[in-house]
Amino acid sequence: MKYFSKENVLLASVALIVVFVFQQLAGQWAFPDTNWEVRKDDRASLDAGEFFIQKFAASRNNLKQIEIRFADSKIGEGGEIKLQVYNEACSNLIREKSRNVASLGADETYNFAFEKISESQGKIFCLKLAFEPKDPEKKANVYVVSNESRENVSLFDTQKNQALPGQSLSMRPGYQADNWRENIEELNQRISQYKPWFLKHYFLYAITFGFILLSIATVVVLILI
Amino acid sequence: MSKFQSIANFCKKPAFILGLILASFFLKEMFLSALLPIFSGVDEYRHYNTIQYLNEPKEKNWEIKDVPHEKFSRSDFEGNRFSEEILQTGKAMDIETIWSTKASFTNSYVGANENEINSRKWDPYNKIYPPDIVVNAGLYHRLAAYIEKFFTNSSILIRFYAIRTLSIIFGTLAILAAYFLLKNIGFSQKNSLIVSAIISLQPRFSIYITNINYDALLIFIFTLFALGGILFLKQGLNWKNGLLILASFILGMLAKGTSIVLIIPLFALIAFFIFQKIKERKINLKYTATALLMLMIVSGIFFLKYNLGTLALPKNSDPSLAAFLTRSLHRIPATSTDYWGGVSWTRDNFSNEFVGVIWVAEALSIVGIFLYLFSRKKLEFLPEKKYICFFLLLMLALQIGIRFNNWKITAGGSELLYGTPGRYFIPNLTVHMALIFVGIGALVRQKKYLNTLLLTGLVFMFAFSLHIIFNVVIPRFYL
Repeated sequence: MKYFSKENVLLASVALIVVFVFQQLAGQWAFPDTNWEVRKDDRASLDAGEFFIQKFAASRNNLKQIEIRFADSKIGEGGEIKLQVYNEACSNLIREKSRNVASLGADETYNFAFEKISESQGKIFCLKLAFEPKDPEKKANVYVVSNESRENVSLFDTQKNQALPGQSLSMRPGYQADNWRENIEELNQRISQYKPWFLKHYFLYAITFGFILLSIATVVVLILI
Repeated sequence: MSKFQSIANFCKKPAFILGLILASFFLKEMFLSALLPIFSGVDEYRHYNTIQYLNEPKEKNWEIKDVPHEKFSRSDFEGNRFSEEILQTGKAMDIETIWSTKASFTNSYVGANENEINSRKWDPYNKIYPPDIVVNAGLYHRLAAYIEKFFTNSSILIRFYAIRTLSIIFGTLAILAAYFLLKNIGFSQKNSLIVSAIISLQPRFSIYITNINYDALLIFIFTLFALGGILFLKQGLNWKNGLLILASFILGMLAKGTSIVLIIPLFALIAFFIFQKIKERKINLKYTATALLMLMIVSGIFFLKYNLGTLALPKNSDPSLAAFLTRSLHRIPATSTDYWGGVSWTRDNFSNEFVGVIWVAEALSIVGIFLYLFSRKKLEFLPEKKYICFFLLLMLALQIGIRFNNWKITAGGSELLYGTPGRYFIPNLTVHMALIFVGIGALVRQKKYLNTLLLTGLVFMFAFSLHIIFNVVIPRFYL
């Protein structure tokens, strides 16, 4: 019990908060391939029991997430969006991620993060997107955009039973770097772009780590005095 | 004494801790400034255009295209009436994509069109008139215009982020003023430091203060005014606090029209002073009445010159003020969420849950303040009631001013679609935070419990702040 003081509880809370925040950040750490555009072109509906089958080529290793823009949808009591990543032949399930949604709006995108697929570069993946509404009469709406990039292999709508050549879901894959040093460097690169010299690269490192360390030090000192 | 002991003693010095709070705040804000892309702040492009407009040569010897206001269409960024440099920089960065989703990134530290932006091939002049600038550009814009001019041979990126740094400096000064304010109302040195640190971590304040916006200066000025008022109530009128009150009031008026609301606490302070002097039989009623009349005439001239538009009643009173206020009631939770830093930049980001906890603390503090004001028992560890009344007056004055102004906008035909943004109330953040902890202190009634709750509040705000920066802002723009 001698360690169970007010100060120690607060210090332990600070430590847990720091761990939790950075763990959350690590969980959503994926660099979206911005060559894929999540535009709002044509709407297409996704009924219960149907799929969109999107085949795409990964441009990098460590495929970590798929980001999708849904269109405004009247889904009543909501439902579950299921995203499955298969091999090229759509036969072997590699990753799967589900999200329960109460509403679907077009203003933001939805991220489906999964455990990274290490050797993904150059491989073609088959992505199945399905919606399972609580009310079977309801359906979700997605956006389908024209996409002539090499990475977009094909899109198939099972509901219409037709291929949609030259089109893709309004989506983009996200990747991690090979290790955390490279991940941090890539994030630094992204933040540094369109910034003045005093907010770039080494200055940015100094500011970031300085802020984190001083913030923690401030809280710790205030607890201990 | 061992070396370790002497370091530990040094770390306990209030000046060191205050320095730590200010330094960590400044670095946090610089980091946030780097995270937020150019023109992503509230009306930032308009404020920056105002600054560039102030630096335009008086003799406008470039081709100007006049587009009447009513024929103007602002369907995309390029269609705005901003300087050529702002419009072309926004286009080169694909600013609309950044606003809606994410930028296109390269595999280096330099953006795809960054060198083109740095080549300074576009004029920082408005070529479409009338330009889209802030009405009544004031002190902040003029100070920023000096920075813009000083770095005139540098890239827009350097000029823009240097002006953002000016805002951050004002924010840092506001934290410093907050500390002195809290210390002077009677919080212990330690508690003053803790509340200052909590203020420095408040997410909305932290994000907003990085923007190019005259509110950065306004927040500092409001805190200074409150400090002046507190010193006056504590020490009686002397040249120091008198000057502080007067200077902050005048600077506020020069910075933004919102400062006109300070007239209410200013007159309350004057009334308090006169009341005391009459009570002490130190002044004659006749002289006082003459002085007051002169003061009113001088104030009248001042307001006629600078702020008649702000004071005037709307020509059309539909909806009525009462109807407007009734309609605003259901928007208060949204305003409060925005005020505390609840953001919808990413899905399921839990910021509303954090705000929910703060609402519980606020509700408890309202009860506590009510009990404190109407109880006869004096709690030594809490500020005196006169300070609490002054703070409540400051809160009330800003509420009245903003609601009145919003009513004017609504009655003028422009519907406030998104309600009243919480950022409008940030100038009173220090006062608000002090009231919350006074209220909670009045409920728990013991210093040691208040100390523990203050530290809990600090840890909570630390969590909220880190969460917003690392789990919302970074993923929103970069992941």
